[in-house]
Amino acid sequence: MTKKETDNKTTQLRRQGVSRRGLFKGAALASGAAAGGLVSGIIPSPFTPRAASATDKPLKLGFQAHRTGIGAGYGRWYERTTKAAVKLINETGGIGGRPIELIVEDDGTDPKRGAEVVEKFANLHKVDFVFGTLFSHVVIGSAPRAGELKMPYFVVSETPAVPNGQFSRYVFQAGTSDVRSQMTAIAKWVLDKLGKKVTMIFPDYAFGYAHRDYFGAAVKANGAEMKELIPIPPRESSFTKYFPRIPSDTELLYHVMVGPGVLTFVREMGEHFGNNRPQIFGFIDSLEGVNIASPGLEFLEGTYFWEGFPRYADGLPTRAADFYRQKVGMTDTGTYVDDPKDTAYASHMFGCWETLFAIKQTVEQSGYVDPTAKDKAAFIETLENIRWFNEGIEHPQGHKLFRGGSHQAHAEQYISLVENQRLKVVHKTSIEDSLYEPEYDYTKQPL
Amino acid sequence: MARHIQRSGGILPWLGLWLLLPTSAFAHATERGVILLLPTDLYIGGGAVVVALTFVLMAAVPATGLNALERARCKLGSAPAWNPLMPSAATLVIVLALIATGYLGNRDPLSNPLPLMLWTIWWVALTFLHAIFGNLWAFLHPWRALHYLLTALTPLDRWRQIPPMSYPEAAGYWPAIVLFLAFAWFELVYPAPQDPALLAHAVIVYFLITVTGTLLFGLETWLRYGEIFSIFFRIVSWLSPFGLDEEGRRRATFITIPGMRLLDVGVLPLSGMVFILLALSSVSFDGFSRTFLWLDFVGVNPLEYPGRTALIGINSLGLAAVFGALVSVYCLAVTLGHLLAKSDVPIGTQLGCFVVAIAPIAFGYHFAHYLPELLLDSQFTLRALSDPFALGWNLIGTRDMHVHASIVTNRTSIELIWNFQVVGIVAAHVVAVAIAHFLAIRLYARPRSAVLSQIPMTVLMIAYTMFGLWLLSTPAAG
Repeated sequence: MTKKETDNKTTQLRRQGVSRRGLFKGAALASGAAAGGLVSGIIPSPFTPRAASATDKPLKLGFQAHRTGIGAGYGRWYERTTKAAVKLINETGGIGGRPIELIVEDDGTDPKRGAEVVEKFANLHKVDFVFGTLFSHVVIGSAPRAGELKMPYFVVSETPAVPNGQFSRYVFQAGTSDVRSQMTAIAKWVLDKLGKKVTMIFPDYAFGYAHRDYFGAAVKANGAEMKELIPIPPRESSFTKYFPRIPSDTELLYHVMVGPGVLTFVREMGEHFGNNRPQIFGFIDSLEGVNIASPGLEFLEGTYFWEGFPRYADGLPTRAADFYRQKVGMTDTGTYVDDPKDTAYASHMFGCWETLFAIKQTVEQSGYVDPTAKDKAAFIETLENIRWFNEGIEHPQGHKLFRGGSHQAHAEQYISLVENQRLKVVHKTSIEDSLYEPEYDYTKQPL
Repeated sequence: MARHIQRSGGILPWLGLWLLLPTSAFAHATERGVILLLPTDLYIGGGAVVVALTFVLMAAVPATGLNALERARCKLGSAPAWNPLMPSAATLVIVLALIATGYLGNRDPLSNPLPLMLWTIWWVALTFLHAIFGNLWAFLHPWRALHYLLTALTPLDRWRQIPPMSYPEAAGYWPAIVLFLAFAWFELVYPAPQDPALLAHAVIVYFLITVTGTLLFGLETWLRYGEIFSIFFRIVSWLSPFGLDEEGRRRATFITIPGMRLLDVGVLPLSGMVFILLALSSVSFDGFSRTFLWLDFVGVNPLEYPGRTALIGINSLGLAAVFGALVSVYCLAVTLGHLLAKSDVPIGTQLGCFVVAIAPIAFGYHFAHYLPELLLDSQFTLRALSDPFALGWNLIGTRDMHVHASIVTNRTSIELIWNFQVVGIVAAHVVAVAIAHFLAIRLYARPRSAVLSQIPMTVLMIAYTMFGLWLLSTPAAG
């Protein structure tokens, strides 16, 4: 974030009569109060409802889940996290006094079915809000239909398509940050600490290009040097022939390989470098849901990863992280409590939890009752005016700056070192680190 | 990127938009990633060698030794023959209840009993049980009870004994082939075969088709030629060591060497041959359609698998093409064998005879392909059965049971499953080679002709072993 951006943001906050420091202090107090509430079994919300809802009928939430198809692994953990959050909310008074009725529809990780699911939620189930879509292409297939149906739609994806203005005023990403902000956030620390002569290895398609372009820009902005860009064709299953292209004076190797070839990639990279290697940084997306202590991944020892939410509990946990882990059933080592071999999708699934609490906060503040045009407008405008989601039980990953214009949350990010075959957080970025010039302002669209 | 879009042509034009956008990627590193670390080439080569050695061994064993194997059977007991109306009625009640859950239960296909019971318990687990215990479906199918109920009423009562139409002999298994193609397309190509309500629709449609068939042509006739699952399960049950002999009004149960009952099947008509090859080709295509090779061939970036809807057209063609290709190579192998053996047995007889040896391979593929799904989704099934209508019930105490998903994601069990899959595929081909040899000895007067006739078929089976193991080990989406 440039100084100018920081200044602009601070000015904006001051105009609202509140300093950021004060907000964070308030958040910490709220979290403390909530933690205190746990002892007595009552979890007070730090957000006082404007008024108890005029009805106690259930609030219907449509959960668009990747239950089948290529997203099913993520879907299992998204479901667990969602159900844990819904259970907690319902046990503690619901949303504005109304219990949540959760309706799960499977989109098969298929964009076309995603749009059909949105239609079913709107026309058949008549839900109040829809949330949960992860895979970018499914978001891009589904979100436009939500806009047409004027259905408030919360993606939990990291897709930059929300903040860059591809959708409508009804589409939000309030529970998790987008990839551009993640890369922007980690760049300075990574380049300062790990090395300024960079080689990037990335898959040769749009996902890899996003990393190449966003991180490439950060390399330039931070006065570092891009030594080599090595795109790998998506079909490749052996990578040995690409490693000799890494310049010998590379200080930092940035890798973002995904798909079934990742484990082979790591092994072959280890075989190539032996004990003499540059610093290595990657995105945990490559190994989300995979035990980092798996045989074959030994070479990752001493390398660094971005994490959205720390898989292991040690190393800069937020105050509510333990509570969240306990409710979701995720152990301190990032596995399921009843199945120690089931590694969580920790860096992504917290977004479901936080999205549900963002919806709760907005419903309670806006006085939303029914899916009428008037209530929806009040809901959307209220959300667009929320600036902070404060760290606490509702937001265990950390504080979120919510940009109402771009409908995008900006979060603190984690950088972890693989040490003794565990991920140990070594740095937490600030929210300022993740900011970039907003690309779009949805509030200019009519409702 | 532009190359991909251009190559995909009319198949995926609407995908162009998102393919051009920066996206996050969540393609799996596990499952197939773990298998890629294994020496899969050695497994594939080893499997091929085992199948080849089976051929050599069979050729070396004298026919008398083989005859002894063929005759080895032991009677276990006998009981009066009966028409199992009660099991059929029980199944009918269960199916009707499942249809109700499809419409009224949870919308999540992993929480609704209908898709789980149908795709996991019935289509996968029950198939496995048929290979072990024999033709259970003949006792369990719901059609007998349904037919009995419908023909209890006037004016349909007279159709119970004398159906209004006689089944045209020329039709053979062709209606079943058409229906099985539709079933395979629904399972493998249609975007939402697990959607509970859609699946309930599909089950009702199939019920209507079957009821029509049984009423028009008679229950036993339609079960023999038109009801695809009666045919499929019958084929799988040929692998079972348990069989039934009719002894007047009694039925005797016997046990024999697994696979030997395939020798009792006889010569199938052309349509029977096509049905077996269709069963094998459909499960083969399901694996093939997820491989990076296929996706790249159809212009899809395998790391951005676009979902089933985008691939309906090309996968429909692919399913048909693999079916056509398998029929072609099978016919070619048998014809070449016919020429090598200088046989005077009609080629049609040979085609209908040797296809029986394909049945074990169809089952081997079914086993290997669906094993991980069975291990995972059977747990979801148990959970769903406790609360079939999403009313908060806990009928069998499993509602809150944890699903151990790590069984398909952690390295130890992935490797264990892979080894079971390899054994399944290789064993299926070993049985296939052995059975084909038995059949050849019966068909040809001279042992030398029998061996020569089987060379092309053995080459095909070695190739299919390697193909099967490659399917399970090559990079795949999902």
